[in-house]
Amino acid sequence: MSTSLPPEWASLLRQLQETIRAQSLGVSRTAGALPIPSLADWLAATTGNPEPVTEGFNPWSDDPGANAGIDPDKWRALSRYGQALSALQSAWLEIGLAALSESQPNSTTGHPTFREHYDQWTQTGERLFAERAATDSYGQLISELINAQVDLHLAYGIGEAPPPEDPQELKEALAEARAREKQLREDLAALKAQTATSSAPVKKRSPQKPAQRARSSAKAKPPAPKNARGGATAGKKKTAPARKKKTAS
Amino acid sequence: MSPSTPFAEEAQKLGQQLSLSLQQLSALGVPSIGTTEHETVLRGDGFRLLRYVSKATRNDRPAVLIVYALVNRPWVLDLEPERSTIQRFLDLGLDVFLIEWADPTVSDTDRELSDYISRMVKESVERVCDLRQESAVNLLGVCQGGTFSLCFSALYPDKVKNLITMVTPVDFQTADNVLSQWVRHVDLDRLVGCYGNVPGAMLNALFISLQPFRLGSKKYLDLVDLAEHPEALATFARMERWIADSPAQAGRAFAQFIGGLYQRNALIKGKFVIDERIVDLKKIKCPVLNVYGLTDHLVPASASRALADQISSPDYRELAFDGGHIGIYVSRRAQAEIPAAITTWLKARD
Repeated sequence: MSTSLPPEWASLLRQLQETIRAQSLGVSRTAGALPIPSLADWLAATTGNPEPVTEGFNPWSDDPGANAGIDPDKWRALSRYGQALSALQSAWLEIGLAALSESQPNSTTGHPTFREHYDQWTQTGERLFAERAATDSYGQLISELINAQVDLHLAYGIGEAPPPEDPQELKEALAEARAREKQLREDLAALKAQTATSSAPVKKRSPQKPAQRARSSAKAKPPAPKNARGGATAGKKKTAPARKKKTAS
Repeated sequence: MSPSTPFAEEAQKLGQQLSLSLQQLSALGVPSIGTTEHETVLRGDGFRLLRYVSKATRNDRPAVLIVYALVNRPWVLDLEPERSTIQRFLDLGLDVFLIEWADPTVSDTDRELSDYISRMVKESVERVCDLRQESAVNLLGVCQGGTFSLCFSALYPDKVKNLITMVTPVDFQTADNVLSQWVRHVDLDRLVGCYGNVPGAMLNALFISLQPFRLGSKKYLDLVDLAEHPEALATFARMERWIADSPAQAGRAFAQFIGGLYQRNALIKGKFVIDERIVDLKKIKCPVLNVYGLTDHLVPASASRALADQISSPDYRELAFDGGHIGIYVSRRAQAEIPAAITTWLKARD
């Protein structure tokens, strides 16, 4: 059984990919199918008309005059986007090349078909991609592309610049602090109510004058908090009763 | 292609077969999805509540209120009659309700998660209670909707009788959560500041790029096998329609969800705030059924299974399905197993 890749494999695969892409793009207009995504779709996804943004721009041009006349902010944003895109494309290229070199079809016929090669290629590629995609470095490439795209759009006046102060993380921290304060106040009110209730029967059994009752109330010792929230017991959580994970029945 | 070798000949033939399949697919037109008969029982700001029509008296049946994610539409639960989780629930004797979120408009950019959870879900729950003259509901949350359902159940425990979570993230930073890695460093303030509402197509591109070889290439080449199967082609077209129809996300709510949960994992750290209240999952004491996919690449099983240690319910069960994030709704095996298992669990407790 021969499993070596025919010499024309890579070029045939590339042509087939082009066919798939061209065909599915045609269908998308009539049957609602999604076009195969490309990196350019990142721009198209958010503007619907990305071409004017990058038209005539070549961030890798050796000609210093090639991008003359571009506003410095736009130039900076375009460069950043170009670098982010390039970094991601490099990662994809590495994965793609590794997938090509590692693809070895499992054929029982002794003559692997193109389809067997193709299936093995996608399987290997997906495995290699999954390994790479789960790394922090790849995550940073994706985040940077998104951040660079936002920068690019802002530089070209698409969208509005966000206010620099009061970022989401700070808002969340403030919301959490307010919620904790609110919870503590509620717990305190509940404790006060509980204290008042627990001292009431004593008053009934031993009637006193109003002034005396007020003093007794003030001296009454509040009951220990029943839950772990707030006060001296804050942060000490009760251990939940042990539960066995069961399958549904 | 020039067919100079048998190998090249086969590649060329595949290309031709693919063209044929795609032409047939194109001839099908835009397929219908979400066609199970229903009525609107509540229209609110940003949502409507649907109740599915059943031949039997509905109030005699256990009810389930489905809370779907904001991402994509809920019609994957009702793709076509033979692949409809909702239809299976009806067949098995449930009274089915579903919250359908409205697309956010420009004026919804500042809409918060609190608005979805503490108002829209709450109003829907109260309407279901009114219609059925009950004091609490059975909630079924799907993916992000499952996270919403967990928050609601923790904030309003008296309103939830039983809780079912499906492919629901709880721990958003497990080692195998690729999506979490990808969005960890995104500047959400600038993103939302720039776009307002986050375009659905952008999210779609992100989801598809999680499996680029399979979703970007193989599934299209595999169409050659469907050329002689019009029903299978129609199912494919319905799935494509569902995938492509991705609504925008209200900006602030998106930033709260991605920032608070994917970037800071606030829910299991006890720091997630909804409607000025910290969401304390320990307050969930009702019976819980946690359904997840063992090969889910969007919400890994580990992200869902983290729920077991977060809640106080003495009646907690798990249902692991050997499938992925979408297959758990549309595959034939899922259709045969999942709705039946959920209904059995629910009927034993309702």
